[in-house]
Amino acid sequence: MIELPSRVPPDRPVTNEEVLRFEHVSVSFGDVPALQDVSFRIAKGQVRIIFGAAGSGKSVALKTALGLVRPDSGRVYLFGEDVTDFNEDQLFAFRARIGVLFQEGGLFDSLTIEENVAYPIVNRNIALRQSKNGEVLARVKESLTFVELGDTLDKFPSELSGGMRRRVGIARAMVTQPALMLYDSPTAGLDPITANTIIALIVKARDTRDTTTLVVTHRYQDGHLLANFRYNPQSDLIEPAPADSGIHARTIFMVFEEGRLAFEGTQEQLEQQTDPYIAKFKLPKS
Amino acid sequence: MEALMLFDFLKAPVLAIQEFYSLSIRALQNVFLRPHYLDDIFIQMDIIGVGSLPIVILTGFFTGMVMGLQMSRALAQYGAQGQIGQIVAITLVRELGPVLTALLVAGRNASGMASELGSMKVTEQIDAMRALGTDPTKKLVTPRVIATAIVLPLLTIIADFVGLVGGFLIAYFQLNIMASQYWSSVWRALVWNDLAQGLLKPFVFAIIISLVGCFYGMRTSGGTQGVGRATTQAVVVASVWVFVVTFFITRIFVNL
Repeated sequence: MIELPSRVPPDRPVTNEEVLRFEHVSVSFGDVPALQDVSFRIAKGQVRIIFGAAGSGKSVALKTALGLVRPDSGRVYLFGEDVTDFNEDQLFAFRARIGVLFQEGGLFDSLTIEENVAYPIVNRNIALRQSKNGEVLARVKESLTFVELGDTLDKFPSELSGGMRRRVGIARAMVTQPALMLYDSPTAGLDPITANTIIALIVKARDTRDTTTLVVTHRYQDGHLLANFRYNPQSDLIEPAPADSGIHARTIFMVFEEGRLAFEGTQEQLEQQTDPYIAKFKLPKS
Repeated sequence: MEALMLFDFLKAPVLAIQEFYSLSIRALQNVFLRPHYLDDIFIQMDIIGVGSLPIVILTGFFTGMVMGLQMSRALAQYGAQGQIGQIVAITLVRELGPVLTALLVAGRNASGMASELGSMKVTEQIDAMRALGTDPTKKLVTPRVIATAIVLPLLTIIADFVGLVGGFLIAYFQLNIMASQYWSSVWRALVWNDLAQGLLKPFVFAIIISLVGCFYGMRTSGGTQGVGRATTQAVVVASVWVFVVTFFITRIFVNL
């Protein structure tokens, strides 16, 4: 029998256990530097928001964390282990513990929604070794129901709207119940209502599953919602989190500027910044 | 200063050759490594083989007829029209069958591979595949190489045969040569050397065409414009390589 996702209280504490660490990481494409001497550390249970303008290196940082882009210098640690020099086969074992939502969803055009969401399970043989196909389908349905798209199993990605494709992307990323979730610009190109729906789903995933969350975005609203709202299972909606919930404290903001980490701190520290570039990602004064 | 400029000028092509070499080695190594994506191999065999069949048959048939017509004029000068089957067979089996079929498959499938993989690249599907624990070379490139290597020799055999039938129709209806004379001339003309190079060439072409198509697809960048560029480059480079390689294989076989 497949284990159901563990339900954890939203105020679970941040542990000292390390999930991801960059140590002086630099990446360049040809002569163009994409990341320059970037260092940060994400502990288990933390929520990280990476802000930055287009081309500031925030998506490259995410791909470097996954091993999809190799650093020119510096070290990358995943779950406490130095994976910088790992080959693809060695990295697959680590990637199995990470869920990723790509900017456009990254869904496979030629596969149905069911096949797309089942892909990580079938591919890694996680469930197939232990169970029958019916249980894989149950996991797929559960994951799609989580993103409120339980009735799209037989559709193809091209039949869905942009927002729905992102939601399927989230369902696929979560289906193996990863310890770390990476979201690459989950709201880019979406209208504000759909964008808020996607962020609400990320909040729901954060609060109902035991995952560390890293969100790359250029919208300050996304960071604000993630840092100050929580999921209410009774109403199935997100609501303002009480001050003692711990959500606010474990949400750390980072700002990338031309490949450099220009800021790292809490929302309060971000609000106090006077640098014109960093100030672009502050809550606008009404 | 000039040396620096020369270095910059050569850097991109040398890097491209290195990447192509690396992709080729990995793709060919994967033929012997698990997992084997049999479903993908059969799908690609259907797309490349069955999909190319009508155009290969048409081209082979008309090439055979044109060969018959052209050669009949030349042979008539020596009163050797009875040898038409021999000329058509040798030309088709040794050279025209493999090269024309390879060019058709390059135009149809190298472009298809480059555009399909290129679209997957620019929409981050290749990255997603890697992130989900699949080696894209194993899943996308190797099945295409295997499928092309199986079906291109088969398509060439069909093109050769249909071409011989086309030549026969010209010989029989226009030159009034008896069927038995034509086919026995064909049979006598072909030796093992011809069959060997006629089958070796499409096999080598298949590996080149599929690797070139996949290579340009996998290194696509720059959105939809990049996909178009990759497609054009794949067809041009694959076609040029077909001509270059056929020269070298022929060079080896004529000395045997």
